Amino acid sequence: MKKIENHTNKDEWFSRNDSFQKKLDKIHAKDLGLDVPQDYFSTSKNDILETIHAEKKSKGIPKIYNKFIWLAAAGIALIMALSIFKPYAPSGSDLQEETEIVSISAEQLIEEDMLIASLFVDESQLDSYVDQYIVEESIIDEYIEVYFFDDILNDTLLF
Amino acid sequence: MTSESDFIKRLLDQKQREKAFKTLLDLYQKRLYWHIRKIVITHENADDVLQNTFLRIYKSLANFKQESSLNTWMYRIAFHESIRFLALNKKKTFDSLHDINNHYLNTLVTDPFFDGDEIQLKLHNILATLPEKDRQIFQMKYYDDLQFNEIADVLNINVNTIKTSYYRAAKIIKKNIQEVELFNETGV
Repeated sequence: MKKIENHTNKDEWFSRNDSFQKKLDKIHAKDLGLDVPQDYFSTSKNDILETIHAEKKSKGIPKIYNKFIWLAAAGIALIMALSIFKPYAPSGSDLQEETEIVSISAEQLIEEDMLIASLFVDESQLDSYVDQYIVEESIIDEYIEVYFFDDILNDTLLF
Repeated sequence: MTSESDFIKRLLDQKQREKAFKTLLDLYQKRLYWHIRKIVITHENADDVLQNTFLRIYKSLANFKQESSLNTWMYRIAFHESIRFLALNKKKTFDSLHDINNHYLNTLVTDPFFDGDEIQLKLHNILATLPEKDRQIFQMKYYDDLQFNEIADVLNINVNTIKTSYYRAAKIIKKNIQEVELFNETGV
């Protein structure tokens, strides 16, 4: 993809967008019979700004959805666990166990950290996360692949 | 007043973002609303999706890499939010896309903000017969005034495929409109 171009006339970009916006209501009403409630766009603008303001107040993304917070919580839990068990001196068999622990891959550690962190989260919140993100994303992917782009192959064969 | 690149700098600057975002709303609210409306059909649905779209745009500004124009980037988000809405709607209400396409006109005529006459309804009838991809591409080119390369960027499809879809849709629409006109003239 190419980088955006710099416009020489500084007003050109704004005026082009502004004049096009003004035509839109007429085009859609005339050709397609589509209408909007009176003063909809000014009301909607305020609604959008209020929603964004409210989101910012609630610190944006809910903590449950931020896996970095999960990992941080897991890290704290791990440090606490290590500090509790540290006083034990390593015996021969302990040394073998330690070697095994070191050989655990980074991926396994992250997975385990996530599992530990998930213990601190309410089950209903986890269900909500799964419903909202994992299920939604798979449905959208299916929709786009199966229904929206299903005739791309036909296009390729025809031309 | 400023150029697009200056405006993007203001959007990306946290201190200037609030003010720049209000300008962004003034410039793009109608464009994105009408783009969304033609996908989700009713005003009520378009209103929901528009809100989600601008919220997503605001949250994603920090990640805007300027690999495409601001215009294309926002259309891509609006398109994705509309498809997300349709996909979830499909999950709740429909068994297949065929149901959704059949539902197109029923949804349209029940919308209190559809005020079309007989001819406009016939155009919708023709649009409803098109494959969804062709319909979206036709509408993006004809009504949203996007260039072929911009549509290709929004949909992440090869530009030649976009052109093929557009001309195929335009041909079908033209043929059907001529038939409607002939029917109106002759009554046959």
